[in-house]
Amino acid sequence: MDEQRNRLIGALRDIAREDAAASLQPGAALLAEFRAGYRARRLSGVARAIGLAIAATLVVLIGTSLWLAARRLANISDPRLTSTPLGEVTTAFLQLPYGAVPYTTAQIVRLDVPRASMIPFGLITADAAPYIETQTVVAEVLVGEDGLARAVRFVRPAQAPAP
Amino acid sequence: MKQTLLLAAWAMALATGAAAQETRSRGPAAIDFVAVEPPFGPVIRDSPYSGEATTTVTQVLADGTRIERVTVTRVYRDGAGRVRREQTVIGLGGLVPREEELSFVLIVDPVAAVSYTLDPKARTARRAGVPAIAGNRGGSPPPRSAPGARANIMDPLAPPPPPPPPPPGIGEGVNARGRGQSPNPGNVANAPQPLGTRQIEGLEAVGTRRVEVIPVGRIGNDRPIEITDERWESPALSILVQSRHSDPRTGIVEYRLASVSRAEPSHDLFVVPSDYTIIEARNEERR
Repeated sequence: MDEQRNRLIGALRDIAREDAAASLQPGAALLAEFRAGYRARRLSGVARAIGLAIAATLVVLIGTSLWLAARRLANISDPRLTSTPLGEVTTAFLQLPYGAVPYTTAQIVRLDVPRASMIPFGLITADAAPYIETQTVVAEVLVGEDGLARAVRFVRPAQAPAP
Repeated sequence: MKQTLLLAAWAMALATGAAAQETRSRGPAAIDFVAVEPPFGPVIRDSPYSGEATTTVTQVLADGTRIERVTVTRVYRDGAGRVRREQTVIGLGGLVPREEELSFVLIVDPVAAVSYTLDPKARTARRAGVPAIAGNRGGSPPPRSAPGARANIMDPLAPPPPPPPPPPGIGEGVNARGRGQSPNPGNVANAPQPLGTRQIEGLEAVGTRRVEVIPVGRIGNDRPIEITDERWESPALSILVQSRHSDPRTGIVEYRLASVSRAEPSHDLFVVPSDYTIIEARNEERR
């Protein structure tokens, strides 16, 4: 009787063990499946972030280029570069040694000066001197009633009309 | 930074001789006239005079070296407001490689609405248009002279250009008429101080003194730098008669009008001599 009882208990235990093993396998599979899916989703998120970063970089680059181009166009009206009625372009007035002396009346004297005259004002590097030795540039000098030159600006003549 | 780059680019264009840039090659480059614009300021009629203005620039260097330069300008103005100036320009600094004398004769005829720049060496006269005075168009605008003045001041020929910007540490106090505030906010500019009236060369002149101080440390100076400017102007002729500008950095600039005559100058002074070739200045610039 005892032996029969023990066999029954053993059989029941085996069944219970098998059931437990059977019930565990789908969970692990599901868990593995879930983990794989999560990993895939996580990888696609990183890819998307990288894509977005590249897109954002492109937008910034294009935007900056457009902004710089617009700024360059806006620079045409820079107050330091003015256009005269003749279509000339001039620098701002650059001060000469006695530019600080007040004047009551003044006049503009237009001169051809050696292009090397621009060197002291930093408009041309001194290295260029040998190559521009014989060249001239138009300069407008502001002269007071006392004959003292106050300031100078350099002029780029208007472009010649196309033939 | 942007402006610096822009200026540098512009300068490079000039330096490399942009396509449209006129460049003359004729041996070592020398200074040469192109044109002279009429003086800024009003046309003054019914107040003829002539005189000789002497400008003396004196500078004493730290080692005791004294530099003195003098330039003389002869000025004539007739009753119609025509002006003749025989002038030599100094103070060109680095603009000319060696000290070259720059002299010219300018005739401004607001009645004929024309100006001539005479080059006595080349025997040429460059002609340019100037705005005609209102009187030439049949009108007679009210004089714009100061109270007590007798000169008949007409519409200005042209507005004065903006004063040059002062570079760092140099040029504080630049202003077109010597009466405004310092363009450099770091400096202390006192209000012009009236000096009263004085007889100079037979003319009644009204004086003003302006003092501007560069505070300690503004340009690395260990004590205040005082710049004084004294000017004497004739209300009757609306001209500067005498001035003295003292700046420890650049020296003393003195201007004095002498040999003043209020007689009507000879008409010939305002006419281009017959042996001169007249060149249209604007056409020349456009070539």
